[in-house]
Amino acid sequence: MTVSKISTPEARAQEAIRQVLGTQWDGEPAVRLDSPPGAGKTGVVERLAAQSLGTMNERCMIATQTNEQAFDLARRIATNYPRLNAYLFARKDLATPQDLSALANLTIVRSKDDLPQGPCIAISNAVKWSWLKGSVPSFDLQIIDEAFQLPDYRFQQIVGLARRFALVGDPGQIAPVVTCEIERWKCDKAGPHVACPFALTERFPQVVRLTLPVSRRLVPDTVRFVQPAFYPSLQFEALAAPGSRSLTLTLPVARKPIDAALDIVRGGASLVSVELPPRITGEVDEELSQTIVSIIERLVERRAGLLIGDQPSPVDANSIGVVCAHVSQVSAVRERLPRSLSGVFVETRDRFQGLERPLMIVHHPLSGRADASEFHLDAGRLCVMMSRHCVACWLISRSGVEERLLRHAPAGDRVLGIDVDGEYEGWRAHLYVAQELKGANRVVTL
Amino acid sequence: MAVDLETIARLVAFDKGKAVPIASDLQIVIQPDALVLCCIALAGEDTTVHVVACGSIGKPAEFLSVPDPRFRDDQYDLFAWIGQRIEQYYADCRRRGTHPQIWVSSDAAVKHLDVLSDRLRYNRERADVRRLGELLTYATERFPVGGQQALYAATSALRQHYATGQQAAEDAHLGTLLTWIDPPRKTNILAAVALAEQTPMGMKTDPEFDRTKLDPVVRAYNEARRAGASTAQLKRRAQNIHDALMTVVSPIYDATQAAVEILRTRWPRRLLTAPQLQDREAQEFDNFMQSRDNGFFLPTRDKPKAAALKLTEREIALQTVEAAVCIGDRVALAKARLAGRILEGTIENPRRVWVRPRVFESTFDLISSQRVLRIRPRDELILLTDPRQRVLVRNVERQGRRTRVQLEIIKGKNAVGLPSASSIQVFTPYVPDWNSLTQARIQLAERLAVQPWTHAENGAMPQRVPSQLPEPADLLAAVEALR
Repeated sequence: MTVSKISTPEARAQEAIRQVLGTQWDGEPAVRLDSPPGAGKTGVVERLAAQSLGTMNERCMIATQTNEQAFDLARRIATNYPRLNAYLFARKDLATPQDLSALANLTIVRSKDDLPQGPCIAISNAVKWSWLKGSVPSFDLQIIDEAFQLPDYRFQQIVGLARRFALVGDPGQIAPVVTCEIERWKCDKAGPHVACPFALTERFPQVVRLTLPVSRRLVPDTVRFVQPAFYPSLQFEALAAPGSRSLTLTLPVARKPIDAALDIVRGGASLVSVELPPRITGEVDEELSQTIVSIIERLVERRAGLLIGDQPSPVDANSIGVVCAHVSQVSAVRERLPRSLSGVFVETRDRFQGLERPLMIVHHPLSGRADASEFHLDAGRLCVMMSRHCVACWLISRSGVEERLLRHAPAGDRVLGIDVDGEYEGWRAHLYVAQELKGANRVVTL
Repeated sequence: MAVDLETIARLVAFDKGKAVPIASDLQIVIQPDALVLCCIALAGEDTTVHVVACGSIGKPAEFLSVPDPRFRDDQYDLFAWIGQRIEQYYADCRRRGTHPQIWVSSDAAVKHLDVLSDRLRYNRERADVRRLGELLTYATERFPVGGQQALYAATSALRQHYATGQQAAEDAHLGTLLTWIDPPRKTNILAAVALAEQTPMGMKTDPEFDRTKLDPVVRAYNEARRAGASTAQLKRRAQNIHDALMTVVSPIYDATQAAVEILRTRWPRRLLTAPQLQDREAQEFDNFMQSRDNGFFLPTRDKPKAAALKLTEREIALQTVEAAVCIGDRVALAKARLAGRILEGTIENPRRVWVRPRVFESTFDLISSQRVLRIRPRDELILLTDPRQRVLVRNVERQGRRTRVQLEIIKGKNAVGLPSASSIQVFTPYVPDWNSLTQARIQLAERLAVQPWTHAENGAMPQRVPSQLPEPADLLAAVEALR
């Protein structure tokens, strides 16, 4: 049975998970699972781990990219599978969240000697795993969470710890961060700086590749923009039915110019561009930061609510996220937020990966810029920014982004043998989003 | 925000008509016997050297040219000549237990050396040429590594210390940089810079010079050679070429020497961590030369294990040197403060709370007025003035333009103690750990001792090994039943 012939998105999503689980019973040496944003990657990681220990009686290790991700995963596995014992493997003096200590089936271990010899689920970040010294009983399964953020040279340092591998991640998001100079390996598609799933399938094209076909987070209206812009070769759809998630405004009367941006969302749009008068502002745009805060304040003033399925809930600070390209922009927004709204999560796109909020406000990375550098054009970063919401997202920018893109010719640092041109792909994605939003009358000019 | 500091410095330089210092300490370690090497390639032949100037810092150069580097034997003789000098210099360094340091004019000259080392180290025709390629490889492979002391472009070294009133890309010309640093009196700076730009400072000659000066004399030499001219005639024509090339290479050599001299004499304060940088370079050099002595081959392409080792080393080196510069240099510290990479503020509410017998919790608040901060709860920071103290970020609360950061001391409670109220403290995420590279190498050697199939060279993917356990009818249902 192929996934595409199954009738509903939910059924297709479940069948995809069954396929992933099946690879472990088949004993596939390695599986690469490509997932669109909000498709339930972490849920798959949990299930793979639970199956490995609970039904296959194996030793399973999970490698995350950060300590915070390890904490979150440990919390979820211990909570969702209370009959399975999990181990969080942490540095000797690492402060762990207090709630983890309260979970009866989660043990925090500080030394490899305290890891169980038999079947278990052990969770830690990739760096910690790479610093294991001496002999360690081999794991049957190694799951890499957010695998597209793990460069191959780091994967290589932990790959010897297991015999089977499941690499789970989102191929459309931010590439691994390697700060040093990498000219030496630039022509190598499987080079040490390349995301490990890409490098592995470059060396072994026969590695099983699966995809998750459904985004649980994004609504159909957003998928219609995000999928063609950032995932041209990964087809997926939204689990939510059209119109099943909406923004309500108890005070419907629009009094301020910014209200037009709210009303268009109330009308059913999930992606809206808000444009300020054109101006070259540099990295920090005080007026734009204030506009972001004004949108948040106006949502509260108009007593906005969320309707997700049949569940209504009021919009509060915790329902809103703001994502920016630079830390300085984050600070500019935070310092303008009134104390009552300090719960609004404002962060850079790198730190927003894996997180979501019902309502998101995006500080457009090209706003107020005179140029369009490779960093600001990066498709992965814009993709993260535009895929954190489950109800609606406002992109705030100075007008003229499209014109700037059309003036800019992506020179691209092209390398013989490498087909991927990141700068061009970013430029194409940015232009697609700008033009499609304009074509769909989703641009509100202030 | 660090970019803003540089922009301000450039604006000040533009306003004053003179470059302004952007460092408090000399960021590099200048070897007293460093070698200045200026190679000029023939236009269109980037793997050649038409003329070379070579000499120790503060000393006059030795020059050698070939009439036409497209004649392979002549070219190889020139390479061998350079090789003898570098071999001798490297040998002296080994004898003294130090490391070599080569200075070139610009990043373009570094790239030229890089291409030459790549090309020459596989030469099968002459061992001395191959040896030059190998020796140059040490410098060119070290160049991308943070904190390296083996190869310096004079332009990059000056840019680390001065901001000019021109665009960053224009700083790639050594002549303009030197003009901004020492502008001529009674001359408009921009006019002086425009004049300086007329003189080539990279590894290529000026096209106009090629057309009007060099091409005619090279052509004359080649015609004479084809016509079977006497040795004396050829020598005379070769001298014409040499004389023409000297007008190009001499100013570059002199400018490179001038750059070194400026750094050597006007920056008396050395970075605190200079000795560690030197020691590391000497160790790297010794390892490299021992590998050559043992006959190990220098690969063109890294296998996965070597690539992992090298990339890890580069990442660690970069992190270490950034932390080191931040500790030593006041301007670097200011940049880090503006960029939010360090946390600086006034201490409030230092308190020591009894938890249980002989266990106390030491906490305090830090009020920072930094507009940009890159910290979040559960981050660990180190006290800049005494790295024995480590703190954990408990909470970060933005209060308008100020930020209140709640910190808990997790190391150094007794050795360093609680900071006093109203004192100003600086915390950093990293301090330089000069042992980390060695530790990482040992760990990597252990971790990568056996190459698994995923990274084995030409390895085969293992066969599937299906589970021997009875497979549930519905795999998803079986997992859900575990909840």
